[in-house]
Amino acid sequence: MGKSGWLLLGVLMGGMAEAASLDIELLDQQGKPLADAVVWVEPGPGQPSTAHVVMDQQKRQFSPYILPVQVGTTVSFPNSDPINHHVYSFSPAKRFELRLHQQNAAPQELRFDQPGLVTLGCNIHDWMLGFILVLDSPWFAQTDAKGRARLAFDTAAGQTLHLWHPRLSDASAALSRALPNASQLTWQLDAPLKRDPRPKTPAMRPQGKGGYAP
Amino acid sequence: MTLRGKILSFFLLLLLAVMVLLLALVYRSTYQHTLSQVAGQLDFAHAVLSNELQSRRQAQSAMADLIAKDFTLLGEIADLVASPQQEAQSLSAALESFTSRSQASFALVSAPEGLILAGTSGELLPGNPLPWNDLFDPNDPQSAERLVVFGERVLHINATPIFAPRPNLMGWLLMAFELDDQAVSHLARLSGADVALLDGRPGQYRVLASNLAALSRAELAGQQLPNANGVFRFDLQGLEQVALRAPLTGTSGALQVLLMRSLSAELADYQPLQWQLAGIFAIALLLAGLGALWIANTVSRPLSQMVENVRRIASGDYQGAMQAPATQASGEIGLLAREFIAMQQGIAERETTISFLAYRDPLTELANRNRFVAELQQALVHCQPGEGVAVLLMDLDNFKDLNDTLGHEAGDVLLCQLAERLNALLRPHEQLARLGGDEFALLISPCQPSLLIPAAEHYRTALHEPFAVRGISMVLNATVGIALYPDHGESAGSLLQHAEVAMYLGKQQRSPYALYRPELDRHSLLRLALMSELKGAVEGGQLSLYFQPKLNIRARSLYGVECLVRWIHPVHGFIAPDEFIPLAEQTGNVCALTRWVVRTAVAQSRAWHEQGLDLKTAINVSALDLADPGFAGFIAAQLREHDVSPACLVVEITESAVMADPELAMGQLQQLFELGVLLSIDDYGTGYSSMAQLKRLPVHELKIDKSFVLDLLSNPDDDIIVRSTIELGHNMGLKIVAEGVETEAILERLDQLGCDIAQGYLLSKPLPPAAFAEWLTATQWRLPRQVN
Repeated sequence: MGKSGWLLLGVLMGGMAEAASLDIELLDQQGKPLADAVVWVEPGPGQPSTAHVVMDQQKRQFSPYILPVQVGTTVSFPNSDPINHHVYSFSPAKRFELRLHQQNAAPQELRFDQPGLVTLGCNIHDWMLGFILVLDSPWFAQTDAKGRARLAFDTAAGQTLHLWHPRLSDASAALSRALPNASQLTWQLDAPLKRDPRPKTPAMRPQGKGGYAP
Repeated sequence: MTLRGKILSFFLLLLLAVMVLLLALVYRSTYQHTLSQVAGQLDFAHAVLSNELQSRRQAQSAMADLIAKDFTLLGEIADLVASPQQEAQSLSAALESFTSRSQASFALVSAPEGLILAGTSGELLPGNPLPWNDLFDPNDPQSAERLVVFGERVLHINATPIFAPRPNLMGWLLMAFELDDQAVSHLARLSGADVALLDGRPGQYRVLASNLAALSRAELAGQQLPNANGVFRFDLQGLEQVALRAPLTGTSGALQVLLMRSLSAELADYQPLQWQLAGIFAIALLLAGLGALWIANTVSRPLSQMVENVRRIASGDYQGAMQAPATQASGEIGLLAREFIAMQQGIAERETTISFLAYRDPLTELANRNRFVAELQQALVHCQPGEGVAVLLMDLDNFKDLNDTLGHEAGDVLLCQLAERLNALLRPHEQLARLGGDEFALLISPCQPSLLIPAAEHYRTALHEPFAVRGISMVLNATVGIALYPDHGESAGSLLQHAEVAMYLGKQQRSPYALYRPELDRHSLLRLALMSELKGAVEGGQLSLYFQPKLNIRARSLYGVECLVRWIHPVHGFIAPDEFIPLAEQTGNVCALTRWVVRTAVAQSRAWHEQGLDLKTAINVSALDLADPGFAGFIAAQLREHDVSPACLVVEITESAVMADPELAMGQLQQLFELGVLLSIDDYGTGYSSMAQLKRLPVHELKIDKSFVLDLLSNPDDDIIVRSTIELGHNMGLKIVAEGVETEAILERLDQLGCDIAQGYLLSKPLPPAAFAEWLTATQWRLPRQVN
């Protein structure tokens, strides 16, 4: 999540009474922190978001790897690579395909107005994998490299805390638990993590004429 | 089996055995070599097949991978998932296109759980679960491939997960590539072996794909193939196949891959070599056969020649010389042949000697009877019509007497002298032989009847000069009997016999020669012919002694018997002594006859003596017997041998016999008298003996001939003669015997006249021994019992 995200969160929290926050530390079965996981509280308010976020293509990867958005969010798909990409999704939540041409072309935008998981692939680069998690809630956060995340939410909203990460046992389903009363939560997973689904980037790249540097 | 055959068959069989062995070895080694070569080729073929199959499978898998990532396909699937009813046709059409591009048999797309969404297969329809579900693991989706048997087809199936993107499993792409006959034929061409894909059990295989023709396929399906992997052999379409059951990776169930090469086809490459070998062998066999034949001939031809010679010699031909090859043969065979010829010559020489001896009379070295008969037969065979062959038989008169008197050695000397003289008289076309004893034969061929008598005269000149033996000069006489072919006989035997008959006739007629005359009295001729059999009759038991009793008139008791010889011929029956005894005297057989009579009579006398009868036994003796100087000694020996008293024996001599040569008879009679034997003058009154001569004889009895006695009562002259003879005899101290007493009245008259002894039918006719024995028991006359 970029600076704009945090800005938005601050605006929301400032605007509503009884705002609360929860510091979450996510640990896997071995006690190691799990990054990039998305936590959120549901259900949220029916107000669709008008926010704009970016899913960039950098070094033949989706960046970010996992992008949580509220329903109604418009996502911009720029191409930072010197090569073409062909981003697609066959997920029921949002089916699309975008032909992203070389760097500096105008980014294409898509509005995600259905909740659900949208799996992103590139038809040209099989190994490219990205997720856009479309949530029906504005109160979500993402763990950092230390597995930590601060989740701000309205206490009047839902009482259920959800967790999703592609390495959780069922990639399509989210884990959930009751929202604790404390402001601190250490969430240790009791099931082993799955293999990282991201295919390996090919070690050899095309070289010379037709090859590319990054 | 002949030697030649043995040698030939030995060589040929040996060579044949070697050749067959060699051919078998060559065949076996080429077979083994081919077999191992084929096995090696099959291994290679297996490697090629595996590699090729693997390549194909990899290529097909790669193709399936590519197709599974096709964006259009993904889109079609996503569309179908979004609205199941509408879009299936579109996906099927897309799959059809992919199927065609990849040359697959069919392609299917299924949901992640294996439920078919769409496809180009006629059998696997949408809505049904996929078979081979072990390939589709939605929790760990991976590409997988396998060779499967589906229906009657061998399919290479690829199950490829469809990600959108990974790990987002959207479904499965299943692509099937059939391994059909065409593909298998391609594999067969590459690997250089026949390939068959099959499943099932031995004897009930299913040939799923193969490059083989339909017939071979059908036969292969029924084969009982071993189950193990590795190389094995079996027959297919009459050709021997070497097969390898190739293990394959990534197959399911009972699918087997069979690699085959025809061993027969491989061996066919060696067939020219085998034909060449067989040709060489045939030529070698031929040459060896010819060689063996040559060797066999060098050995066996001389041998068979020798066998031929042996056969000739066995049949009596010693003259045939052995042919050159045998005698000129080198080595042992030639030596044997030369020795054989030497033996042949030796045999021929000895045969000449033997035949000389066989056809020569050893004493005179003239031809013998056998030779004469053979020559005569030859002469008869070669006799021309109008010509004749004469047989002259010369027999010395009284030679036996001469032989007995002077001894056999003197006789032999005499015969030799005669042979020499006759030999000197021989003329052309005449042959001389000594038939035996004093019998010489002459063969004149050809001869005319008019020459017969001159020829006889010619040879009788040999007797004109006296013969000198031991300083004694003597003149011999001989009778020649003549028979002429074809007038007097057709065969050698009949000619000789008729010449002999003529000779006997001549002797009877006291003629120097006699010609056989067919018109001669047949009876007399028969008797003459019988003379030659008389000697055999004496020895052969054809003679028999009959007995006629004599009566002591005064005592009316039996006095004795007269022994009379009878000849019962096996063919001609009874022959009277009047007929054969004179002839026996003429032919010199009478002495043997008399000796037989003496032996038999003395033995009989002994038998009567042992019965207690005292009978005087009388025998008749010829003048020739009295000429035999050993006669009295013989009688003495016989009496001694049978322990018979000389007084029991009466020797009757005819008056004429004594008077023929009184001086000669005197000696023997004197000896008999001194021996104590009674002497009787037989047939008294028929001769003309002077009383003076009679008086000098040492006799005891006179027998009055029956011609005087028979008519004694009716003829006064006879009565006078009988009476005077009785008186005269009594005066001289002789007993008088009357023969021919047939009636009681004559006996009475004789009694009155003082006759001592009577003999005749009044008592009995001469009786054979058995009948006489019966007569003795039945007679009315008193029997003279021995005193003691």
